Amino acid sequence: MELLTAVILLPLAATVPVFFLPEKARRTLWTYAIVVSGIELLLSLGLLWWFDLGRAADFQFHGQAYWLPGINSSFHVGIDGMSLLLILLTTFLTFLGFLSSTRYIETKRKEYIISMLVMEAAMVGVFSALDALLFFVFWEAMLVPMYFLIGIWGHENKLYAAFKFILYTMAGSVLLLSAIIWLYIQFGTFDLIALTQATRGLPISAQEILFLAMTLAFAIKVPLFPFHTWLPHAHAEAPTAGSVLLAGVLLKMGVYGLLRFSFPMFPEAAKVFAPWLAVLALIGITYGALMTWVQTDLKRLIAYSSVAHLGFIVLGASSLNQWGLQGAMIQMVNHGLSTGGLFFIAGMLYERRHTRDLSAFGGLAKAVPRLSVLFGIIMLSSVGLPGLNGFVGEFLALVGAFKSNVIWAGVGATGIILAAVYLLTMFQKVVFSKLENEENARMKDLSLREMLVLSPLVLFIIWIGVYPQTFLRYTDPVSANIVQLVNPEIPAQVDETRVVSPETREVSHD
Amino acid sequence: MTDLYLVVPELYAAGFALVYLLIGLLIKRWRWLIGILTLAGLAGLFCVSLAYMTVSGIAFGMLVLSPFGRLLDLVFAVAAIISLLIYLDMKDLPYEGGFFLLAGTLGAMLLAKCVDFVMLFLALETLSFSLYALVSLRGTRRDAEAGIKYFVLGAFSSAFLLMGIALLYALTGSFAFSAVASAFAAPGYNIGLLIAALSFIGIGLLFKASAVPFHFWTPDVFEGAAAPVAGYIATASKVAAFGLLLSVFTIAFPTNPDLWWGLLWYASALTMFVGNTAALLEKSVKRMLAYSAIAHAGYLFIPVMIGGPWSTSTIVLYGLVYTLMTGGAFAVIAVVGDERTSINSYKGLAKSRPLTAFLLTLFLLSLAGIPPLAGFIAKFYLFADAFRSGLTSLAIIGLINGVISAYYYLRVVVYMYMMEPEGEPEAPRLRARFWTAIAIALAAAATVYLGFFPGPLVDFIRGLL
Repeated sequence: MELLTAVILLPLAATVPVFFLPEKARRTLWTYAIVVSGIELLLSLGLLWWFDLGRAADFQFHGQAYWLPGINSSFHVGIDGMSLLLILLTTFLTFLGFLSSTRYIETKRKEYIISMLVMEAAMVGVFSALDALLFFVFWEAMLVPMYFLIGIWGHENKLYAAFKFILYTMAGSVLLLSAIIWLYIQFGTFDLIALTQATRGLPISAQEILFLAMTLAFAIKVPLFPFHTWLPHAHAEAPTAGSVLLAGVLLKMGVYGLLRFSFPMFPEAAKVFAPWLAVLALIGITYGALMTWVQTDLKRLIAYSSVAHLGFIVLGASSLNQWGLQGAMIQMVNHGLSTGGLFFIAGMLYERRHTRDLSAFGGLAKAVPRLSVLFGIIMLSSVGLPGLNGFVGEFLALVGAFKSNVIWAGVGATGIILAAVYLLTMFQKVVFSKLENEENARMKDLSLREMLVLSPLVLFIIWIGVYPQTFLRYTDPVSANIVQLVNPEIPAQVDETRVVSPETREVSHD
Repeated sequence: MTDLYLVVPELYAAGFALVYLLIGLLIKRWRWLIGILTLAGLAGLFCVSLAYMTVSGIAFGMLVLSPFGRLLDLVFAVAAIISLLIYLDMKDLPYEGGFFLLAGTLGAMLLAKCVDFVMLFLALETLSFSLYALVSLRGTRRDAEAGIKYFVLGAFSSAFLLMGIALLYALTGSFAFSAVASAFAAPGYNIGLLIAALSFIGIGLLFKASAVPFHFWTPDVFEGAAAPVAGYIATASKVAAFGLLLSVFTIAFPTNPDLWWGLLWYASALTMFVGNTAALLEKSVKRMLAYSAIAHAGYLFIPVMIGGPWSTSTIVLYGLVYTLMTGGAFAVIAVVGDERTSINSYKGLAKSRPLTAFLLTLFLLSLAGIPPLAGFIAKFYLFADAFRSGLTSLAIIGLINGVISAYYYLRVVVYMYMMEPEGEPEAPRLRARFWTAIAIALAAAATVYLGFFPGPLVDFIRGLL
């Protein structure tokens, strides 16, 4: 069996034994979950090992199996550089998610482990599907486990948040499915590669309608302003690992959809609508930042900051040049690491104090120095401090925006300043202000397990910040491809990107 | 003689119903023995239908034997197996109910194949009378109320149907479906009267299919009937009605489709919409499933409107998948308790009965059409067909309805998983009995399997049609 298929199916198959394990066997269950997700992580590292970097824009690890007869839909998977990074992010965060859950989840552990594993399979599936219908199946299959994660193990308003999450996404799915079926009827295939070839010949009016239908579904997932209203609820109410996966991976599925479907399939329409997307992204950046500023709930604060950060990603993507696309792709990974990290820390604080209220904390620097240091690094990565990963992505995205439209870049840059304001304010309130509360003083510092969760994140945060080339070279040919598709008349644009290509080995932000 | 050869599966069904009645009388104290007998007999029906799959022809000028009809027989056999197994575990119900179930299955088999209005009426009444009896078999007030309601309204709609048939006979001098088509084609007929006749027939059929606005009986009957009986009405009876609708609309009305087409369009959209919105407000799980059955009837109108081999295979696939998931859901209702239908009784079920709750979740998610379960595959083929045939707006209405339906299906899941059980001091300890457990296991396994590997089945169906 192909390695990629194994990566998709392993978590799914691994759910079966969980049914037969006793709920009481706490240790066995968690050990099992961590081991399975660990093996999954190793398998996905195998993908990295055997990935042919020279052909990073091509789909590799092809797997094809008979699935739906009569309508030319098959189980067809394969990954390029962009998918590879996102799959690694998925398996990595799921593994850490399990590691962080052993103390947090006290009820229905079996259901929790099953939900997480099904989620993992679906997320990996989304990033590797090369059949539009298969993509849709994975896209939808991920809803239910996430719904359970929010609804069962979430905080006070979990039911409302879970319903809002699932109904919003399903509403978007209707448009996505309609567009996919329309494409099938027109071209008689669901194969992504063939479709991407075929759709370019469509008249502009058809392209526009299809682009809008698909992009709306993806925009809800991203979420792009004004479709973001489900996000603060879902993120704030979900349990730690749920929030981490929501912010770290699920939101990326929306951007991935844009970059895999909307832009390459309908390049003409993409050119027409990219400015609109950019404007929405800029509104999202500003609005998200302002909303973040006034939050008093730690998880809601991080959730709103995601709206702002995803704005940068979409801004980069819709600038439709190599810089912006590279920024968007690397920022997807960055946001997964930094916001994932912030949610892990919010979860650890919640486990200690059972509150998410900012005013309940204060003076943690003295009480829990280790946690404070790691918190600081992750927070600064989210701010976009040079030398950490956030800077690389946001810088590239802004350069891309600058090349398309100076005003975009100006507004976007303001967003970075706002990010510094709200995150530093938050950090000051939580970590540096006076240690007044007795409970904070008695707080325990990070345990070994928690160190194990956070330190790999910090490692990658610094790695990408210092030497992003390791990661950028995987997405470079993919973004060059998209630029070629959308703007075939500007080959000069591609040459410029040699700055971030393997040959020159230059760090991009010099 | 050759005609008799064509209808061997029907003869088998009739024979088995009698055998059940007689042998059951001798062994009715040993329910497990009846269970084995039933399972063997219905498995036999399944095999006979399978063996006669490709035997085509017209029997007695009244029944068209074709792979389509035989495939629907398989669906009826599955529905009967699921319902009868659950039924046998309900100790307060007499075993004779099984006979009515089998007789109803015979009616359904004939109904899906008839091309003659006399046969249509006979088959429909065979099915309906079995169901009237089944609904009120327990003899409690609630059962009787449901039974009477069903019977009165059913008889009312049969009267419409008969009136229509009589008018048609007066006009054409024939009972054959094809006579209607030629009546339209030939000049000199009284078109107004013809349309009146067909409207009467249409009302009768829409009642059986529980299409809006003739759906009001469904929730009341479902609530009163025992879970397996409600499940049977929701599945076999409905699929048979759509098999019949397809042959009526393709054989009797082919020359003048526009008129019926517009009518069906509105029936479909209304039925989906009313079914789904009414289900949103329901607090009783059984009534909710009744409205869900109405909504699914709305989806099934789409292939009837399209016609042709693609949509016949869609009806078979959708009918089978729908039967599995709805039958499974009713089996779980039987486990939770026929009387405890309020959604509050499902609170915290995941804690007390984790496996039961999980399986009900599976059926509900499949009904909501969430991949990778069978319900998604069936819905996908149906709506892809609609898009292909240019019914774009109807398909989009259907897909939006799918989202609405997710809300009420998931609400049950919320009650089971995300709420604590209410302190019901008299709440019985739940136990899935043996045959019910088998029915649930069969349905669940098929729902999951067909979701992941729909290929072989779809190939099989497509290969025959």
